[in-house]
Amino acid sequence: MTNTPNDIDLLMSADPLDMSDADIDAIIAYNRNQRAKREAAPGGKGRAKKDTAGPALDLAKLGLKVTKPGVERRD
Amino acid sequence: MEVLSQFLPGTKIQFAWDSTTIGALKTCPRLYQYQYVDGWSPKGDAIHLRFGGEYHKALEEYDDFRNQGDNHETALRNVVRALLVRIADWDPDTSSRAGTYKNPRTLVSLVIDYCDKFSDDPAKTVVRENGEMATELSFRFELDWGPTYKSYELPNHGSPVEVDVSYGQPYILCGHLDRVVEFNSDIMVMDRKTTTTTPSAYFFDQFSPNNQMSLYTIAGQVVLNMPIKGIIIDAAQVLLENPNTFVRGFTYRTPDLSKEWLDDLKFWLHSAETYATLNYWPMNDTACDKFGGCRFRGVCSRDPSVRQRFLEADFVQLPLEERWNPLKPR
Repeated sequence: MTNTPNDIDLLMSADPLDMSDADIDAIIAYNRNQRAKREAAPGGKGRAKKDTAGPALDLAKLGLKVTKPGVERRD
Repeated sequence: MEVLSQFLPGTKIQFAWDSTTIGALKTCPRLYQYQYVDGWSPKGDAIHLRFGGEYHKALEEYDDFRNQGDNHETALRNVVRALLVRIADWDPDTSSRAGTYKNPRTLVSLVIDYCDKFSDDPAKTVVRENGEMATELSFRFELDWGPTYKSYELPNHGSPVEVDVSYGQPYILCGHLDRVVEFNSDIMVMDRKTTTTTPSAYFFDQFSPNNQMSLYTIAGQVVLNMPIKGIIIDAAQVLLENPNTFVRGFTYRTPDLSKEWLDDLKFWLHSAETYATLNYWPMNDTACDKFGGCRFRGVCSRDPSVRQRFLEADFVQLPLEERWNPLKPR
């Protein structure tokens, strides 16, 4: 069995009783690597920031207006 | 091992309670009936239970390995190996929302991330008087009162008098404390939660007041005979694209708050006795939309004459030995 991170799917689906310490360490290393990549990605420490959420919609141009939610009466 | 029933023999009067069943009773007696008296369980509910159970078990083992002197890397390797063995047969439906967030891959990732983050945890596990570390403490203690039934006494003169007669079985409060720690000179119970929502201030607000955290504060004081100040909620948010997030929140209980919780419990359990005696658990229809919507809403919204059919379609009635039982050891 190979234990490079590229083979993580194979490793995760292997019989854990047959795994060597190196196999387990490879899974741990793969997860740490993935975490580091996510942390390094833009907005990786949380949700996308407002300024990266895309252009704001101009409701007026679309012929729409903002209304406050209220109670709708159905008589 | 045969586990004692949590109900008085031949009745639906529950005498052994934990935070889950008390919480259900307080939320809606009908919810309590469906899930914990009659044993109806939503199909597919197992994913959250399995994920949470394995996460707790893995972190418990990590604490144990570290307490035995293993360094972080060795402890983590042992934990991941044991976890992979336990979940080798676990194959949740990853096309469901629950399975997308909670599956073997995300579980292993969450455990590794947690252990890495708290490898040098500022919260130190309390050592008990017997020298054992205060982790995974199952508790069970009796209250000084219990269920009663109505009887009538005939005085020598006058009308019959109604009296409450004890069944002779006190109420028992049960549960499980993940870990008791010393943090900033305070003794606190640490309770681990996994969530797919953001553990913001809004998330932590739900724990004060909170049934489970009040019970755990009292239980910590009873089990350890230590002045427990409250609970640290050790929240883990499972994320797919972003790194998993870990946030700790604090909730405190004064002695008077704890006393009030116990006083209130008398009324709640008295109500539970009444419902069980009448074999009728009323619906609290102001709770149906809470917590993302009650799982039984689709049943309760139907005409009573057809509810059984809807229950059978969307739920399974678990055999007695598989039902939630606070007396069942972990």
